[in-house]
Amino acid sequence: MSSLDLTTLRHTALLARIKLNSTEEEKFLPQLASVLDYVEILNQVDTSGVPPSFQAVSQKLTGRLDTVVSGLSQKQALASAPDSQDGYFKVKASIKK
Amino acid sequence: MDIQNLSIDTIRKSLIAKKFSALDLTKTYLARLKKIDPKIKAFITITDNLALKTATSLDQKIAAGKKIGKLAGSLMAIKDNFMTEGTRSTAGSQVLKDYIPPYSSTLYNKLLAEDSIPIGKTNTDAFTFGASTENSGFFITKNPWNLNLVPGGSSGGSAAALSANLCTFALGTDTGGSIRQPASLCSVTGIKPTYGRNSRFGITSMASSFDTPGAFAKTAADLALVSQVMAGVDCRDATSSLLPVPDYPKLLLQTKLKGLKIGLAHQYFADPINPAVKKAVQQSATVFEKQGAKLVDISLPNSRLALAVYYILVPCEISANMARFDGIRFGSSVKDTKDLLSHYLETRGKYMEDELKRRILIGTYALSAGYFDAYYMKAAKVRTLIKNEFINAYKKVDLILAPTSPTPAWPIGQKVDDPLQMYLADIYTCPVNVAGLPALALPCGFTADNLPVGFQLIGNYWTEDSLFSAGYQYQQLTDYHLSNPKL
Repeated sequence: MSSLDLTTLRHTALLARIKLNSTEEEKFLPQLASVLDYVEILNQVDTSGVPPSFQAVSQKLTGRLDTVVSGLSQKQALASAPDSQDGYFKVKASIKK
Repeated sequence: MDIQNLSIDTIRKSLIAKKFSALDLTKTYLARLKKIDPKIKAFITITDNLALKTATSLDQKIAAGKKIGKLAGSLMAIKDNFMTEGTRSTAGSQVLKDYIPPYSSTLYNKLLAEDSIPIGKTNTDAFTFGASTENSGFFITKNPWNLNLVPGGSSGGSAAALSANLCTFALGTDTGGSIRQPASLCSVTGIKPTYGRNSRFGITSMASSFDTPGAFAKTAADLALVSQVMAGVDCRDATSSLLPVPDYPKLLLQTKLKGLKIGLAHQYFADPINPAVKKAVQQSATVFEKQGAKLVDISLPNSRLALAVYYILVPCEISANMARFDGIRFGSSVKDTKDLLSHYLETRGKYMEDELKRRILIGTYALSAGYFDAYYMKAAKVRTLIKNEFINAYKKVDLILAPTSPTPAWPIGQKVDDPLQMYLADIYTCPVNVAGLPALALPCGFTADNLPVGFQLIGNYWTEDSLFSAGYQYQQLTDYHLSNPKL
């Protein structure tokens, strides 16, 4: 089932928003392929009728009391931002004029 | 003052009896740390000012006759993926190399409230992705028992710091073995509690359905004290459990070894286990047997599938969790890119370490259109089979005893270019995370080369009290946990 080729790797990297250089592509391709080959052993297992587990432990989720508590101030929230302006996080334009 | 093997209880009682002050104790630890740490490099940040300040206010509290906390005066090393307000928290990655969080993790706050003293932030594989601490974005931590070897990981900095007596206890996280495996490779005691026993709030997320914060200590008795403070529900973590927390330190003798049914699964003693590890772990079972415990052969064939399940589900969860590191709200960021897409691509391309990239790529691939059912859904179903197999085993036995790592510590550099070989280091620990069970790692011997070996007691859900009790009694009968590396 594993069909990891260079084109797929590049497409996956774009989806993951990671720029890879050619050295990384060359290094990662066989490494990732060997992991994908290893996990093939799961296909030998009959899972018909078996429900999936998305959590480790089945339990009711814990809620919190519906009371107002103070959170981070605007200044605190922006303190670690590489770029901000007028109390906002600043990013490059994502829509062309 | 000899701080080697100083217990939490001894420290607290000595402070009350005024045998030494918290400030003197802290200065002694800091002096040792500054002498020893350059050799092993366990710490990313040493919080000496914070430690001295905390110790001084504890001494003032004692002088004023006020009640002091359960962990008073104990020096705490904190894995750097725990957020600590005002103190740099890097998660071992260049992505967060300058990040100073505006808030603290719940567990850190709880431990501070019991008067423990933070001595520093420890090294880890970047974002905890690794089994040797070599994937750290900063430097490699060395095993205190042999400086040419890895300490294990990902919580290798915490395990090495404690093993070298640079703290009284240490914090870690265990997503696939990251507390138990370095505990065994460095000869300290470590607990991975049941998933949901401890709050995950304020700890960088790796794989949210696996991540389990826990701790390291020199003894099961100390670990019971620390774990009792850490455990419990947190309204900021919806997966933290409402179940009451037993008083672990008071229950250290509750589990009767006579008649205790301990399961041994032959699958955990087969290839690729190192013969010296196998022998030491089997001998630990004999220690229990001599006290009247019954060793029961069990079979856990699905455990061999756990690593494959893990390396699908965990990267999938990682790929989602790591999406937040875009260099916009916090974290390292590339300047002057041409548009938003290039900003994401270049920032993540530049600052993320190799193993982050690999796991995000595997997860993105496995979750991408056309592959979801084949990978993610298939693995989630096999996860059910693994859980059910453990649940059935606990109908026959009280505890399961197994090795933690198939080998002792290995040379630095040996596995870094072969991720799959590195992943196989977690072959005996990750089934426990897949199922969400608690497990306690204990030292049980040394190889001919004087390298530590450890084993794990795996309990049924929410039975940490039994694990601490069995571990405590084992440590009354053995002295492996009292050995210290020569540094």
